[in-house]
Amino acid sequence: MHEYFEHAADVGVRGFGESPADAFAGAATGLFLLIDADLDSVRPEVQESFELEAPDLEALLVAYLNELISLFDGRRILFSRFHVRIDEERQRGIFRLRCEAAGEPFDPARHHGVVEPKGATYTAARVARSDGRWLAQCVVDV
Amino acid sequence: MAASIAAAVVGGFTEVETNVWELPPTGAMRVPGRIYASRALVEALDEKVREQVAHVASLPGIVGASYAMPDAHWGYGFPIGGVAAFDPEQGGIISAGGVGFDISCGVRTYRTGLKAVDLGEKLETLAHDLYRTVPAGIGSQGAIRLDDAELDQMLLGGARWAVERGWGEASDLPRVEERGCMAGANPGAVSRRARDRQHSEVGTLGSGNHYLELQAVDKVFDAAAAAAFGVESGDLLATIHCGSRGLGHQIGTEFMQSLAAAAPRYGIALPDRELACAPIRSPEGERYLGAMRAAINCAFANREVIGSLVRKVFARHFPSARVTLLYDVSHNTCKAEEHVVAGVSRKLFVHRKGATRAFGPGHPDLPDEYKATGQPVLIGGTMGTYSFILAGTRESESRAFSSSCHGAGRKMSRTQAKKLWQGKALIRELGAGGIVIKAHSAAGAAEEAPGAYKDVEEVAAVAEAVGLSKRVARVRPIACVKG
Repeated sequence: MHEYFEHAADVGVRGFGESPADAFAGAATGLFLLIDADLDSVRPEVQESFELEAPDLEALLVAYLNELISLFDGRRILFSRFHVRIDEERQRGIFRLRCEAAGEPFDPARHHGVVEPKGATYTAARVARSDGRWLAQCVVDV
Repeated sequence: MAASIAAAVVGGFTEVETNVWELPPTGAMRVPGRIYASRALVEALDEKVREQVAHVASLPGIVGASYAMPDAHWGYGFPIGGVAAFDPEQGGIISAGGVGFDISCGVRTYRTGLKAVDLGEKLETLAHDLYRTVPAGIGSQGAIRLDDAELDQMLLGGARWAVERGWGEASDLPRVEERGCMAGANPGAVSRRARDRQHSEVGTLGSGNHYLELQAVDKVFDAAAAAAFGVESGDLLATIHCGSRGLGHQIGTEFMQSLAAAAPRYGIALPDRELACAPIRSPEGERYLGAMRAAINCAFANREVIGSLVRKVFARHFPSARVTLLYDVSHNTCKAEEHVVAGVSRKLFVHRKGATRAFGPGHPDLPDEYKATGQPVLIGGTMGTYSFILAGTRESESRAFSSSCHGAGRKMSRTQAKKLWQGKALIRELGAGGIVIKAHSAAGAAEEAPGAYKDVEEVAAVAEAVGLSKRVARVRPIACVKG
């Protein structure tokens, strides 16, 4: 699940879920819906998996969305499905994310969105439990 | 009648002279904050702008004041419309947040030698051909593919590289900042990721607020300066607004991260991690400087290549038209410049984040034909409102290190704009008003609705009133290609 929130010049992206990982996946869906409004019909033909670590969940979220933006722009893959796992490694004081993302090669003739994301930012970055569910949000520069 | 002796105070800013508002230094601020704006613009200012102006004022080595231009709005770390100069001799910093994600995003305007009225029926055909020829929109690719060696050449050569490869004209170069080639670029500091993102994006416009516009000169304010700039009333101009594409965005993203991590190692406390900075004289600072300069060249090359596509289109429809560059400005940069502070010339690193350099008459970096008038300052409006051509002034040097505004500045969020305007209806409405819109995304066009922006006329008028730059001409859009 996702929604957008207000920012003067850019777009606030917010994901919701039962866990931080679900909320991250929701935020990723919100991000890619900017690129293609019809993500449901995107086939999971191409898979990419990656791991990231960060000292806190907000930094992990920003790094995660930036990784996806960079994969989209560099390898031209439109992702539509996101399997995310987040583990806290207490001894090292970090959070580790593993993501398997699937989608299809981006085709400007078929995929139509609103705006191209340039980068995820720390502005309004927040990962927290709210009303019995997790939310993960930040502003994306477009 | 009792005369008021109390100065006006709005949102923490005190009006120290007409259109000049100061934020006195408090807490960690090393210098005051200063915004150049009318009362109405200050009243409409986001609270976050004041906070960001104060944060910038707290950074090591800042000189003079933390400035905000009349079009200032909430940015990342620095406000958009923020100007701040740092002295390397005094521990001055360089900040990735002070430059932004779209490094060297800028505006380039061409004269076409045609009058707007000459277009007649051909306007639609010309606009459509521009839409077809200049790649724009999400994930668009250009015709040029760069391997690593060639990419390095582009990152070192900028617009000069494009001209050498046949994607531009040598006569353009003196009328691009740095004569089209930013010295000190370090391709070695540009990551694999940044390179991959640029592989096919040279010569693409992008999306969002980027555009390619046909404009008519609508009003001339300063006939002498307009003559020097080669424009007169009724002239047809072509203007490009875009930046360094994926490569610049990736460099911005990576250094926002690494400089935020570096700052504490140099004892710099960041009130906001997007101020991400390191001393100019540090390995991290120098690496960012080299990468950012490479991205400046990427933006120069990009706009030069797009310009060559615009020329091709004009050649197809108006074979005798001579398309010449008026000027090319960048508005997301950090540049090392000589400035006179309290009578002493110092080398300062001037961050302009959503602000335009505006050198006054006689500045050595200006091409001969603009020496008497000052640098052309190109201010983008929206697809439904005017844009402005201004000229740098001598006064701007003492006002804000020779800087001016960069555009209208948003006043409404994209979400809100989409609630108020529907893309196709908006395009029809603008069409009925004589502006042909060619948009790759109708929803994207709705987000860019003219009503979502501040009044660019007021922004330009205030810039002139406080001496940041003076108005030379006003132009109105007649066709706009949006991503």
